[in-house]
Amino acid sequence: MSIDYTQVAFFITAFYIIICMILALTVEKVMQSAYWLIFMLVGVGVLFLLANSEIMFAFQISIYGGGIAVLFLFATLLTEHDDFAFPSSVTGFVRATWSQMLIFFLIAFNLVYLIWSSVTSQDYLKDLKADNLGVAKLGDTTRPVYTEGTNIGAFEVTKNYAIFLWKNFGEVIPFLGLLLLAALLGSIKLVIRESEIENLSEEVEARFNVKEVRS
Amino acid sequence: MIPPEYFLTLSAIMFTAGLFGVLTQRNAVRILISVEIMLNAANLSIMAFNGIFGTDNFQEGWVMVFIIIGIAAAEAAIGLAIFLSAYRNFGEITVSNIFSLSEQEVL
Repeated sequence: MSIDYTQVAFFITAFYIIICMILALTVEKVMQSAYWLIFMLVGVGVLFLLANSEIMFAFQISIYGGGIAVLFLFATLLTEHDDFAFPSSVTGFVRATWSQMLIFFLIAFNLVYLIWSSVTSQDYLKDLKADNLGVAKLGDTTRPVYTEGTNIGAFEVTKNYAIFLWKNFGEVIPFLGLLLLAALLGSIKLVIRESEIENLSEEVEARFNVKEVRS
Repeated sequence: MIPPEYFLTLSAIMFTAGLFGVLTQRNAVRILISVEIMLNAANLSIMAFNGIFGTDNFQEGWVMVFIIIGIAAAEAAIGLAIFLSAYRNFGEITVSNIFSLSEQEVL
């Protein structure tokens, strides 16, 4: 029996993601929690790469691993925290959060039941054996970088994705642009300080010929 | 080849862990971190289903993941700005302690 190395890579990455996720949720300091979140996001990007979607790997690393990570780090730096994830006693924790835990277990059991029932259903097993589905795209190591004859390469798939996005979902990119612009303006409006009159030093007064500034 | 159910199982584990964090944590930044974990779980499952149903020319799953990543960036920016504003007004961002926001008079 030959070893499927893509599955080995998947299990290593999944283990790394779960460890980073548990640390992000349980570590004492919020700053370290943000660090572990960033490591976890990079791991998810590697899983996208294993699912043969290189462009999504690039998006994940640049947006999640770059932009959102910096947002988290700065927001953590600019605020003070109590630095504890869970209370010290288990009974106190359960007493304080029993209703949330009830909702959590309900949703978790529901999710596990849904996945188990769909994965073991006959329709799904029949679909997996069908040739017309793209199942082999998850962890397909035989795909070349450039197209060779009928074997479509990674560059062409990315190009097809770009064409597909612009032709069939042409509203998505303007919509996301407007949304991010609105988020940017809203964030600035939220965090901007109230204007206060501030007196300037003599050097600045002499240089700019003004007496006071509204900050 | 990686079976899609591996991705779905990992996605379910991540989603439930993120849900647990959202429901039990008190610090606002920790809650937002848990929400990001849940969003990534959703992305992973969409990627797995794109592996099942997508082809080389039609990758609707990738489009969905693209939209989710963009919206997550906007959500993180707005959420953290709200936390900064709350921190400036209340001196802390422990969610259970800033409920007095609802008790203030509406001007």
